[in-house]
Amino acid sequence: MVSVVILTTALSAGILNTHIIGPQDLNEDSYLRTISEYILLNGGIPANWGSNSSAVPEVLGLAKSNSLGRNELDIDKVCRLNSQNAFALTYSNILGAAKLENVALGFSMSQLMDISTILYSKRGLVDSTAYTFKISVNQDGAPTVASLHCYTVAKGFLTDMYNSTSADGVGYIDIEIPNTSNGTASLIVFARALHDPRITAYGACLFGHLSAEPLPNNTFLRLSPLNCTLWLSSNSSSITPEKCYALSYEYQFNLTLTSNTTYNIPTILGKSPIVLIVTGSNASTFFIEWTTYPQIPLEAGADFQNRECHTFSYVVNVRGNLYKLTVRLGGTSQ
Amino acid sequence: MRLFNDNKGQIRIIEAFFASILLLSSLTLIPSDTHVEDSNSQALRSTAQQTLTTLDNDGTLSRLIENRSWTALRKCVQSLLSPAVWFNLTIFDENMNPINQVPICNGGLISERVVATEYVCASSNRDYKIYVARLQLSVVS
Repeated sequence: MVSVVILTTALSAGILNTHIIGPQDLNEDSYLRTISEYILLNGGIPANWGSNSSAVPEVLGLAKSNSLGRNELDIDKVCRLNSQNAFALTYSNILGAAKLENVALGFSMSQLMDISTILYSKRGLVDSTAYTFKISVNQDGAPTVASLHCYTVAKGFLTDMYNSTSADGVGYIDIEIPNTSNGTASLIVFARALHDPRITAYGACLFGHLSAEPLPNNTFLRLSPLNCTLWLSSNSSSITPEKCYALSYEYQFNLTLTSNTTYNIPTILGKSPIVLIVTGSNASTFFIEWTTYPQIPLEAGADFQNRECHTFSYVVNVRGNLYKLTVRLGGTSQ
Repeated sequence: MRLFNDNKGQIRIIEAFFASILLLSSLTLIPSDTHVEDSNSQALRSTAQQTLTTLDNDGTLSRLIENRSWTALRKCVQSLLSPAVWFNLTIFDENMNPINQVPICNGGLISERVVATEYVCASSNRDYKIYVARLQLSVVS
Protein backbone atom coordinates (compact mmCIF):
# COMPACT_ATOMS: atom_id res chain seq x y z
CA MET A 1 0.00 0.00 0.00
CA VAL A 2 2.80 2.40 0.94
CA SER A 3 4.67 1.74 -2.27
CA VAL A 4 1.52 2.38 -4.33
CA VAL A 5 0.97 5.71 -2.55
CA ILE A 6 4.59 6.74 -3.12
CA LEU A 7 4.43 5.70 -6.76
CA THR A 8 1.17 7.60 -7.30
CA THR A 9 2.50 10.72 -5.60
CA ALA A 10 5.64 10.67 -7.74
CA LEU A 11 3.70 10.24 -10.96
CA SER A 12 1.21 12.97 -9.99
CA ALA A 13 4.04 15.36 -9.24
CA GLY A 14 5.64 14.58 -12.58
CA ILE A 15 2.47 15.25 -14.53
CA LEU A 16 1.53 18.36 -12.57
CA ASN A 17 5.05 19.73 -12.97
CA THR A 18 4.58 20.16 -16.71
CA HIS A 19 1.39 22.11 -16.09
CA ILE A 20 3.09 24.35 -13.53
CA ILE A 21 6.18 25.05 -15.66
CA GLY A 22 4.06 25.94 -18.69
CA PRO A 23 2.55 29.16 -17.28
CA GLN A 24 5.94 30.08 -15.80
CA ASP A 25 7.48 29.93 -19.29
CA LEU A 26 4.60 31.98 -20.66
CA ASN A 27 5.03 34.62 -17.97
CA GLU A 28 8.76 34.77 -18.59
CA ASP A 29 8.27 35.15 -22.34
CA SER A 30 5.69 37.88 -21.83
CA TYR A 31 7.88 39.68 -19.28
CA LEU A 32 10.96 39.62 -21.53
CA ARG A 33 8.93 40.67 -24.58
CA THR A 34 7.72 43.71 -22.64
CA ILE A 35 11.32 44.62 -21.78
CA SER A 36 12.42 44.32 -25.42
CA GLU A 37 9.49 46.44 -26.61
CA TYR A 38 10.23 49.06 -23.97
CA ILE A 39 13.78 49.37 -25.30
CA LEU A 40 12.45 49.50 -28.85
CA LEU A 41 9.73 52.09 -28.28
CA ASN A 42 11.40 54.45 -25.80
CA GLY A 43 14.20 56.93 -26.36
CA GLY A 44 15.88 56.39 -23.03
CA ILE A 45 17.25 58.95 -20.59
CA PRO A 46 18.78 61.33 -21.50
CA ALA A 47 16.92 61.51 -24.78
CA ASN A 48 20.06 62.55 -26.68
CA TRP A 49 22.38 59.90 -25.29
CA GLY A 50 23.05 58.69 -28.83
CA SER A 51 24.39 61.89 -30.34
CA ASN A 52 26.22 62.98 -27.19
CA SER A 53 29.38 60.92 -27.44
CA SER A 54 30.26 61.27 -23.76
CA ALA A 55 26.80 60.45 -22.41
CA VAL A 56 26.06 57.10 -20.87
CA PRO A 57 22.32 56.43 -20.74
CA GLU A 58 20.63 56.13 -17.36
CA VAL A 59 17.75 54.31 -19.02
CA LEU A 60 18.24 52.36 -22.22
CA GLY A 61 15.97 53.13 -25.16
CA LEU A 62 16.77 53.07 -28.86
CA ALA A 63 13.80 54.95 -30.30
CA LYS A 64 14.25 58.27 -32.03
CA SER A 65 13.04 61.15 -29.87
CA ASN A 66 9.74 62.71 -30.96
CA SER A 67 9.26 60.08 -33.63
CA LEU A 68 5.81 59.88 -35.16
CA GLY A 69 6.31 56.36 -36.48
CA ARG A 70 6.48 53.15 -34.50
CA ASN A 71 9.75 51.21 -34.48
CA GLU A 72 11.78 54.20 -35.66
CA LEU A 73 15.26 54.05 -34.12
CA ASP A 74 17.77 56.82 -33.58
CA ILE A 75 20.72 56.48 -35.96
CA ASP A 76 23.28 57.51 -33.34
CA LYS A 77 21.90 55.22 -30.63
CA VAL A 78 22.29 52.36 -33.09
CA CYS A 79 25.87 53.41 -33.88
CA ARG A 80 26.74 53.42 -30.18
CA LEU A 81 25.77 49.78 -29.93
CA ASN A 82 28.42 48.86 -32.50
CA SER A 83 31.72 47.89 -30.90
CA GLN A 84 33.61 49.20 -33.94
CA ASN A 85 32.52 52.72 -33.05
CA ALA A 86 34.96 54.58 -30.81
CA PHE A 87 32.02 55.82 -28.72
CA ALA A 88 30.34 52.45 -28.29
CA LEU A 89 28.67 51.56 -25.01
CA THR A 90 30.22 48.76 -23.00
CA TYR A 91 28.15 45.76 -22.04
CA SER A 92 28.03 46.95 -18.45
CA ASN A 93 26.73 50.34 -19.71
CA ILE A 94 24.00 48.55 -21.67
CA LEU A 95 23.04 46.24 -18.85
CA GLY A 96 23.06 49.00 -16.23
CA ALA A 97 20.88 51.26 -18.39
CA ALA A 98 18.49 48.42 -19.13
CA LYS A 99 18.05 47.97 -15.35
CA LEU A 100 18.35 44.23 -15.66
CA GLU A 101 19.55 41.90 -12.98
CA ASN A 102 20.19 38.23 -13.62
CA VAL A 103 19.02 38.63 -17.20
CA ALA A 104 21.46 38.82 -20.09
CA LEU A 105 20.73 41.08 -23.05
CA GLY A 106 21.97 41.02 -26.62
CA PHE A 107 21.20 42.92 -29.80
CA SER A 108 21.85 42.20 -33.42
CA MET A 109 20.91 44.30 -36.41
CA SER A 110 21.14 43.42 -40.05
CA GLN A 111 19.98 44.60 -43.44
CA LEU A 112 16.86 43.08 -44.94
CA MET A 113 18.73 42.13 -48.12
CA ASP A 114 22.09 40.45 -48.44
CA ILE A 115 24.46 41.38 -51.25
CA SER A 116 27.37 39.23 -52.35
CA THR A 117 29.98 40.44 -54.81
CA ILE A 118 32.30 38.15 -56.76
CA LEU A 119 34.95 39.16 -59.29
CA TYR A 120 33.68 37.42 -62.42
CA SER A 121 36.30 38.40 -64.98
CA LYS A 122 39.22 40.74 -65.50
CA ARG A 123 41.02 41.83 -68.64
CA GLY A 124 43.74 44.32 -69.42
CA LEU A 125 43.15 47.14 -71.90
CA VAL A 126 45.61 49.70 -73.27
CA ASP A 127 45.55 52.23 -70.41
CA SER A 128 43.10 50.60 -68.07
CA THR A 129 41.83 47.33 -66.66
CA ALA A 130 38.25 46.12 -67.12
CA TYR A 131 36.53 44.15 -64.37
CA THR A 132 33.20 42.38 -64.35
CA PHE A 133 31.57 41.71 -61.00
CA LYS A 134 28.74 39.30 -60.37
CA ILE A 135 26.29 40.78 -57.86
CA SER A 136 23.84 38.46 -56.07
CA VAL A 137 20.99 39.92 -54.04
CA ASN A 138 18.77 37.83 -51.81
CA GLN A 139 16.39 38.22 -48.94
CA ASP A 140 16.15 35.39 -46.41
CA GLY A 141 17.90 33.22 -48.96
CA ALA A 142 15.42 33.94 -51.76
CA PRO A 143 16.71 35.73 -54.89
CA THR A 144 15.43 39.29 -55.10
CA VAL A 145 14.85 41.56 -58.06
CA ALA A 146 16.52 44.84 -57.20
CA SER A 147 17.87 47.91 -58.89
CA LEU A 148 21.59 48.44 -58.40
CA HIS A 149 23.68 51.57 -58.08
CA CYS A 150 27.39 50.84 -57.83
CA TYR A 151 30.39 53.04 -57.13
CA THR A 152 34.02 52.27 -57.80
CA VAL A 153 36.67 54.06 -55.78
CA ALA A 154 40.39 53.85 -56.50
CA LYS A 155 43.37 56.17 -56.15
CA GLY A 156 42.16 59.52 -57.51
CA PHE A 157 39.24 57.81 -59.22
CA LEU A 158 35.49 57.62 -58.55
CA THR A 159 32.86 56.40 -60.96
CA ASP A 160 29.37 54.99 -60.72
CA MET A 161 27.04 52.82 -62.79
CA TYR A 162 23.50 51.44 -62.67
CA ASN A 163 22.08 48.02 -63.39
CA SER A 164 19.52 45.64 -61.92
CA THR A 165 19.28 42.03 -60.90
CA SER A 166 17.15 39.57 -62.83
CA ALA A 167 14.60 37.16 -61.39
CA ASP A 168 17.40 34.89 -60.15
CA GLY A 169 18.75 37.79 -58.06
CA VAL A 170 21.92 38.12 -60.14
CA GLY A 171 23.26 41.14 -62.00
CA TYR A 172 26.61 42.02 -63.55
CA ILE A 173 28.57 45.24 -63.28
CA ASP A 174 31.34 46.23 -65.72
CA ILE A 175 33.90 48.75 -64.55
CA GLU A 176 37.08 50.14 -66.06
CA ILE A 177 39.81 51.58 -63.87
CA PRO A 178 42.79 53.52 -65.26
CA ASN A 179 46.10 51.78 -64.73
CA THR A 180 47.48 54.92 -63.15
CA SER A 181 45.08 54.38 -60.23
CA ASN A 182 46.87 51.22 -59.17
CA GLY A 183 46.53 50.05 -55.58
CA THR A 184 43.56 49.13 -53.45
CA ALA A 185 40.19 49.69 -55.11
CA SER A 186 36.68 49.23 -53.80
CA LEU A 187 33.31 48.44 -55.25
CA ILE A 188 30.32 49.70 -53.28
CA VAL A 189 26.98 48.25 -54.30
CA PHE A 190 23.57 49.61 -53.31
CA ALA A 191 20.58 47.40 -54.04
CA ARG A 192 17.01 48.63 -53.74
CA ALA A 193 13.95 46.38 -53.76
CA LEU A 194 11.65 47.37 -56.61
CA HIS A 195 8.49 47.16 -54.54
CA ASP A 196 9.66 49.17 -51.53
CA PRO A 197 12.43 51.81 -51.65
CA ARG A 198 12.80 51.56 -47.88
CA ILE A 199 14.46 48.20 -48.43
CA THR A 200 17.84 49.40 -49.62
CA ALA A 201 21.00 47.54 -48.72
CA TYR A 202 24.70 48.02 -49.37
CA GLY A 203 27.62 45.72 -49.99
CA ALA A 204 31.32 46.62 -50.08
CA CYS A 205 34.21 44.79 -51.65
CA LEU A 206 37.91 45.73 -51.58
CA PHE A 207 40.19 44.35 -54.26
CA GLY A 208 43.70 44.89 -55.56
CA HIS A 209 43.93 46.85 -58.81
CA LEU A 210 47.29 45.97 -60.33
CA SER A 211 48.48 45.38 -56.79
CA ALA A 212 48.46 42.80 -54.02
CA GLU A 213 45.28 41.88 -52.20
CA PRO A 214 44.30 44.69 -49.82
CA LEU A 215 44.59 44.41 -46.06
CA PRO A 216 41.35 44.00 -44.09
CA ASN A 217 39.14 46.99 -43.39
CA ASN A 218 40.08 49.07 -40.30
CA THR A 219 43.77 48.17 -40.58
CA PHE A 220 44.89 51.78 -40.96
CA LEU A 221 42.03 53.86 -39.59
CA ARG A 222 39.16 53.45 -37.18
CA LEU A 223 36.10 55.23 -38.56
CA SER A 224 33.39 56.24 -36.09
CA PRO A 225 30.32 58.04 -37.43
CA LEU A 226 28.25 59.83 -34.80
CA ASN A 227 26.01 62.90 -34.77
CA CYS A 228 26.54 63.56 -38.51
CA THR A 229 30.31 63.61 -37.97
CA LEU A 230 32.87 61.04 -39.05
CA TRP A 231 35.66 60.65 -36.51
CA LEU A 232 38.98 59.24 -37.64
CA SER A 233 41.52 57.63 -35.35
CA SER A 234 44.76 56.47 -36.90
CA ASN A 235 46.37 53.20 -36.03
CA SER A 236 49.77 54.57 -37.03
CA SER A 237 51.42 58.01 -36.99
CA SER A 238 52.49 57.80 -40.65
CA ILE A 239 48.92 57.71 -41.97
CA THR A 240 47.66 60.58 -44.07
CA PRO A 241 43.99 60.68 -45.05
CA GLU A 242 43.47 62.09 -48.52
CA LYS A 243 39.85 61.95 -49.64
CA CYS A 244 36.54 61.11 -48.11
CA TYR A 245 33.34 60.22 -49.93
CA ALA A 246 29.81 59.82 -48.65
CA LEU A 247 27.86 57.50 -50.96
CA SER A 248 24.21 56.55 -50.90
CA TYR A 249 21.80 54.98 -53.36
CA GLU A 250 20.82 58.41 -54.67
CA TYR A 251 23.72 60.74 -53.91
CA GLN A 252 27.46 61.06 -53.66
CA PHE A 253 29.46 63.74 -51.87
CA ASN A 254 33.13 64.63 -51.52
CA LEU A 255 33.69 65.51 -47.88
CA THR A 256 36.30 67.92 -46.58
CA LEU A 257 38.13 67.72 -43.29
CA THR A 258 36.58 70.01 -40.67
CA SER A 259 39.41 69.39 -38.24
CA ASN A 260 42.43 67.10 -38.26
CA THR A 261 40.28 64.10 -37.50
CA THR A 262 36.66 64.82 -38.43
CA TYR A 263 34.47 65.13 -41.49
CA ASN A 264 30.90 66.41 -41.55
CA ILE A 265 28.44 63.85 -42.89
CA PRO A 266 25.73 65.48 -45.01
CA THR A 267 22.10 64.85 -44.15
CA ILE A 268 20.71 62.83 -47.04
CA LEU A 269 16.98 62.83 -47.60
CA GLY A 270 16.93 59.58 -49.58
CA LYS A 271 16.07 56.26 -47.99
CA SER A 272 19.45 54.65 -48.04
CA PRO A 273 22.34 53.80 -45.75
CA ILE A 274 25.41 56.00 -46.27
CA VAL A 275 28.75 54.36 -47.03
CA LEU A 276 31.69 56.51 -45.94
CA ILE A 277 34.95 55.88 -47.77
CA VAL A 278 38.27 57.33 -46.71
CA THR A 279 41.31 57.01 -48.93
CA GLY A 280 44.83 57.79 -47.81
CA SER A 281 48.38 56.63 -47.62
CA ASN A 282 50.51 54.95 -45.03
CA ALA A 283 54.05 55.94 -45.99
CA SER A 284 53.85 55.00 -49.69
CA THR A 285 51.01 52.49 -49.43
CA PHE A 286 47.63 53.63 -50.73
CA PHE A 287 44.67 52.38 -48.69
CA ILE A 288 40.88 52.55 -48.62
CA GLU A 289 38.86 52.24 -45.44
CA TRP A 290 35.10 52.34 -45.17
CA THR A 291 32.23 52.29 -42.74
CA THR A 292 28.51 52.98 -42.88
CA TYR A 293 26.10 55.36 -41.23
CA PRO A 294 24.26 53.77 -39.45
CA GLN A 295 26.88 51.15 -38.56
CA ILE A 296 24.85 48.08 -39.44
CA PRO A 297 25.28 45.08 -39.27
CA LEU A 298 26.12 44.93 -35.61
CA GLU A 299 26.21 42.55 -32.68
CA ALA A 300 26.09 43.95 -29.15
CA GLY A 301 25.70 42.63 -25.64
CA ALA A 302 25.67 39.07 -24.45
CA ASP A 303 26.70 36.16 -26.61
CA PHE A 304 24.00 33.51 -26.32
CA GLN A 305 25.81 30.90 -28.37
CA ASN A 306 24.54 27.46 -27.34
CA ARG A 307 22.45 28.98 -24.55
CA GLU A 308 18.73 29.12 -24.18
CA CYS A 309 17.28 32.59 -24.63
CA HIS A 310 14.15 34.39 -25.73
CA THR A 311 14.46 36.00 -29.15
CA PHE A 312 12.31 38.86 -30.37
CA SER A 313 12.64 40.13 -33.93
CA TYR A 314 11.42 43.44 -35.29
CA VAL A 315 11.59 45.31 -38.56
CA VAL A 316 12.77 48.79 -37.63
CA ASN A 317 13.18 52.07 -39.45
CA VAL A 318 16.44 54.00 -39.27
CA ARG A 319 16.45 57.24 -41.28
CA GLY A 320 13.75 55.91 -43.60
CA ASN A 321 15.48 52.61 -44.32
CA LEU A 322 14.31 49.26 -42.94
CA TYR A 323 16.51 46.89 -40.96
CA LYS A 324 15.97 43.78 -38.90
CA LEU A 325 16.54 44.11 -35.15
CA THR A 326 16.81 41.02 -32.97
CA VAL A 327 16.71 41.35 -29.19
CA ARG A 328 17.83 38.37 -27.13
CA LEU A 329 17.05 38.07 -23.45
CA GLY A 330 17.51 35.29 -20.99
CA GLY A 331 19.89 33.23 -18.98
CA THR A 332 22.07 34.62 -16.24
CA SER A 333 23.69 37.93 -16.86
CA GLN A 334 27.48 37.71 -17.00
CA MET B 1 -9.65 -18.13 -4.58
CA ARG B 2 -6.83 -18.92 -2.23
CA LEU B 3 -5.34 -15.56 -2.95
CA PHE B 4 -8.49 -13.73 -1.91
CA ASN B 5 -9.10 -15.94 1.11
CA ASP B 6 -5.59 -15.76 2.54
CA ASN B 7 -4.57 -12.20 1.68
CA LYS B 8 -7.60 -9.96 1.78
CA GLY B 9 -5.41 -6.85 2.00
CA GLN B 10 -4.10 -7.44 -1.49
CA ILE B 11 -7.41 -6.63 -3.09
CA ARG B 12 -7.27 -3.24 -1.36
CA ILE B 13 -3.88 -2.64 -2.92
CA ILE B 14 -5.19 -3.54 -6.36
CA GLU B 15 -8.14 -1.22 -5.80
CA ALA B 16 -5.83 1.59 -4.77
CA PHE B 17 -3.67 0.91 -7.81
CA PHE B 18 -6.61 1.16 -10.19
CA ALA B 19 -7.84 4.27 -8.40
CA SER B 20 -4.46 5.90 -8.85
CA ILE B 21 -4.38 4.93 -12.55
CA LEU B 22 -7.80 6.54 -12.93
CA LEU B 23 -6.58 9.68 -11.18
CA LEU B 24 -3.48 9.90 -13.34
CA SER B 25 -5.49 9.32 -16.47
CA SER B 26 -7.69 12.29 -15.62
CA LEU B 27 -4.60 14.48 -15.11
CA THR B 28 -3.26 13.67 -18.54
CA LEU B 29 -6.44 15.10 -20.05
CA ILE B 30 -5.28 18.58 -19.07
CA PRO B 31 -3.58 20.01 -22.21
CA SER B 32 0.12 20.32 -21.47
CA ASP B 33 1.16 22.37 -24.53
CA THR B 34 -1.01 25.38 -23.74
CA HIS B 35 1.98 27.61 -23.10
CA VAL B 36 3.63 26.73 -26.40
CA GLU B 37 0.52 27.64 -28.33
CA ASP B 38 0.06 30.89 -26.44
CA SER B 39 3.66 31.93 -26.75
CA ASN B 40 3.68 31.30 -30.50
CA SER B 41 0.38 33.07 -30.93
CA GLN B 42 1.63 36.05 -28.97
CA ALA B 43 4.76 36.28 -31.10
CA LEU B 44 2.78 35.94 -34.33
CA ARG B 45 0.27 38.55 -33.27
CA SER B 46 3.06 40.95 -32.44
CA THR B 47 4.70 40.24 -35.80
CA ALA B 48 1.43 40.85 -37.63
CA GLN B 49 0.82 44.16 -35.89
CA GLN B 50 4.35 45.33 -36.52
CA THR B 51 4.22 44.32 -40.16
CA LEU B 52 1.12 46.40 -40.79
CA THR B 53 2.46 49.32 -38.75
CA THR B 54 5.76 49.28 -40.61
CA LEU B 55 3.93 49.16 -43.93
CA ASP B 56 1.81 52.14 -42.97
CA ASN B 57 4.67 54.19 -41.46
CA ASP B 58 5.19 56.25 -44.57
CA GLY B 59 1.79 55.74 -46.16
CA THR B 60 2.86 52.78 -48.30
CA LEU B 61 -0.06 50.64 -47.18
CA SER B 62 -2.80 53.14 -47.97
CA ARG B 63 -1.12 54.16 -51.24
CA LEU B 64 -0.96 50.57 -52.48
CA ILE B 65 -4.59 50.02 -51.46
CA GLU B 66 -5.67 53.21 -53.23
CA ASN B 67 -3.87 52.08 -56.39
CA ARG B 68 -5.21 48.54 -56.03
CA SER B 69 -1.61 47.32 -56.35
CA TRP B 70 -2.23 43.92 -54.84
CA THR B 71 0.91 42.31 -56.27
CA ALA B 72 3.12 45.07 -54.89
CA LEU B 73 1.32 44.81 -51.56
CA ARG B 74 1.95 41.06 -51.46
CA LYS B 75 5.65 41.62 -52.17
CA CYS B 76 5.87 44.28 -49.47
CA VAL B 77 4.31 42.01 -46.84
CA GLN B 78 6.44 39.10 -48.02
CA SER B 79 9.64 41.11 -47.67
CA LEU B 80 8.83 42.00 -44.06
CA LEU B 81 8.09 38.44 -42.99
CA SER B 82 10.21 35.35 -42.66
CA PRO B 83 9.80 32.83 -45.50
CA ALA B 84 8.63 30.30 -42.89
CA VAL B 85 5.56 32.41 -42.16
CA TRP B 86 2.36 31.94 -44.13
CA PHE B 87 0.27 35.07 -44.56
CA ASN B 88 -3.04 36.13 -46.00
CA LEU B 89 -3.94 39.79 -46.17
CA THR B 90 -7.49 40.94 -46.77
CA ILE B 91 -8.44 44.56 -47.29
CA PHE B 92 -11.92 45.75 -46.33
CA ASP B 93 -13.66 49.04 -46.91
CA GLU B 94 -15.41 50.92 -44.09
CA ASN B 95 -18.42 48.59 -44.40
CA MET B 96 -16.19 45.55 -44.03
CA ASN B 97 -16.65 44.49 -47.63
CA PRO B 98 -13.48 42.86 -48.99
CA ILE B 99 -12.04 44.92 -51.85
CA ASN B 100 -9.04 42.90 -53.01
CA GLN B 101 -10.25 40.73 -55.86
CA VAL B 102 -7.11 38.61 -55.85
CA PRO B 103 -5.75 36.85 -52.77
CA ILE B 104 -2.80 38.59 -51.17
CA CYS B 105 -1.02 35.57 -49.76
CA ASN B 106 2.04 33.43 -50.22
CA GLY B 107 0.48 30.04 -50.86
CA GLY B 108 -1.71 27.55 -49.12
CA LEU B 109 -2.30 27.37 -45.39
CA ILE B 110 0.44 25.37 -43.67
CA SER B 111 -1.03 25.01 -40.19
CA GLU B 112 -4.39 25.05 -38.48
CA ARG B 113 -3.13 27.56 -35.95
CA VAL B 114 -3.76 30.97 -37.48
CA VAL B 115 -3.44 34.33 -35.79
CA ALA B 116 -5.24 37.34 -37.21
CA THR B 117 -4.87 41.00 -36.48
CA GLU B 118 -6.70 44.00 -37.87
CA TYR B 119 -5.33 47.42 -38.61
CA VAL B 120 -7.23 50.54 -39.59
CA CYS B 121 -5.60 52.92 -42.03
CA ALA B 122 -6.77 56.00 -43.87
CA SER B 123 -5.93 57.07 -47.37
CA SER B 124 -3.57 60.01 -47.55
CA ASN B 125 -5.49 61.82 -50.28
CA ARG B 126 -8.44 64.19 -49.84
CA ASP B 127 -11.01 61.39 -49.67
CA TYR B 128 -9.72 60.13 -46.31
CA LYS B 129 -11.17 56.74 -47.07
CA ILE B 130 -10.96 54.24 -44.26
CA TYR B 131 -9.65 50.76 -44.88
CA VAL B 132 -9.31 47.79 -42.58
CA ALA B 133 -6.43 45.43 -43.23
CA ARG B 134 -6.74 41.97 -41.75
CA LEU B 135 -3.49 40.05 -41.69
CA GLN B 136 -3.56 36.34 -40.91
CA LEU B 137 -0.30 34.60 -40.04
CA SER B 138 0.68 31.05 -39.39
CA VAL B 139 3.86 29.04 -39.00
CA VAL B 140 4.57 25.35 -39.19
CA SER B 141 4.03 24.04 -35.66
